Amino acid sequence: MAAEFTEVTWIGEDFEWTLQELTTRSGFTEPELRELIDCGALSLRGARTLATLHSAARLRTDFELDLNGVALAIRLLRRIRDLEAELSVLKPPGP
Amino acid sequence: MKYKDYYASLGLERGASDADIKKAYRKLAHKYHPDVSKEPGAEARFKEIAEAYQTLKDPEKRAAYDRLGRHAPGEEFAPPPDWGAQHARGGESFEGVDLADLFAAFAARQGGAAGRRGNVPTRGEDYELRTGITIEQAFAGTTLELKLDMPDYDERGRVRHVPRTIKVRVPKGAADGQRLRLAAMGGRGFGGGSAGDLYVTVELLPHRLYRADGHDLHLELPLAPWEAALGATVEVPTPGGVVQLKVPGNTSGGQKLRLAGRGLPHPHGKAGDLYATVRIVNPPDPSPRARELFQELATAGQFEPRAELLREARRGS
Repeated sequence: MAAEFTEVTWIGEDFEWTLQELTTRSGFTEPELRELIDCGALSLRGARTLATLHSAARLRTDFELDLNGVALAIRLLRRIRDLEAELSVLKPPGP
Repeated sequence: MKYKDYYASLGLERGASDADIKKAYRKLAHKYHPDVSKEPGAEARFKEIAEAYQTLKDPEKRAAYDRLGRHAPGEEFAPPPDWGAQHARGGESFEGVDLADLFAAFAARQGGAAGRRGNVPTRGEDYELRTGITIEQAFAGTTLELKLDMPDYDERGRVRHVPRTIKVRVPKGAADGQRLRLAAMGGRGFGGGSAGDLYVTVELLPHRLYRADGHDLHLELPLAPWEAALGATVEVPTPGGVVQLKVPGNTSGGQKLRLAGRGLPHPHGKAGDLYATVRIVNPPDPSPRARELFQELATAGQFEPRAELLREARRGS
């Protein structure tokens, strides 16, 4: 059965999440999110914030990480994504 | 239901200690986790490892699993007669049930999150998926038909997979990595909780002509030597159609010529640009006359293209 869906929200780089939205969606509690923001691992603004938190939540479960480990994982994930983006700009066109 | 040997999945004997189980899981997780390993089949292998660990790390689940007895992997089997009464809802049938779902429902009956679903409003899960679109689709906008296999829970808390088709309109101007939120199209909520959202990450598929960089596009523009030297008006393809580009004289290879506003449209601002990077291309089989003219050119001027290169080399030695 096809579902026609009309409402789409663009999540751009200037999109700002609220702490409550991230708490209900990310798998992290509000105190945990505050700690991640305080240590500079996380920002409320940006298109990838929630996807990063989903990856971090998965890594936390799969590798039994503490919050420090999660913060490190988030920084590394961000670095990998930035490097992949730089690499894709340098690659020539073509499949 | 089909038997899965969780001990074998972790490379362990049945009497392995809790410490051994944890150690084996960690070693295999580091090897096969999809965020770490790019090996083909790693994701499926990790799923198998994680499933085994979830059961064996919990003393009650492990005991229940051990009471299922030993069987060959993949063998159809039924639990012992009293197993259902002790570890599941008595009287339920195990035909067609997946072992992982059985132990997930086991967790629900232990009072885990799934067990609380009936009483406490619980928001449904968010789901993420990635989908590719062409540069042409990004330029013009497109409607995607997403065919999904969404996990859902039956009245007994067992997971089942429900196929769904969702149509979503992607407005023009999506850049690579653009994220879209489809509100309430994720997992079902429980106990009156709201449904989760579906997040779609749009990826631009590789294109034989263009490379995208945000909303800008890049293209390689071949020019004949005389076009670059003398200047020319040339046709250049863009996603919006072929346009005329005036190439100034004295253009060199590697130079970028900007076609303003000919990139991808921006949903909230100016369109990106198209950058044509010049590549000087010689005729593959010049005629004798063409060779004559090139020879004249070689002797006509005082042009030394490698002068600076050699000066730098001498300075360094």
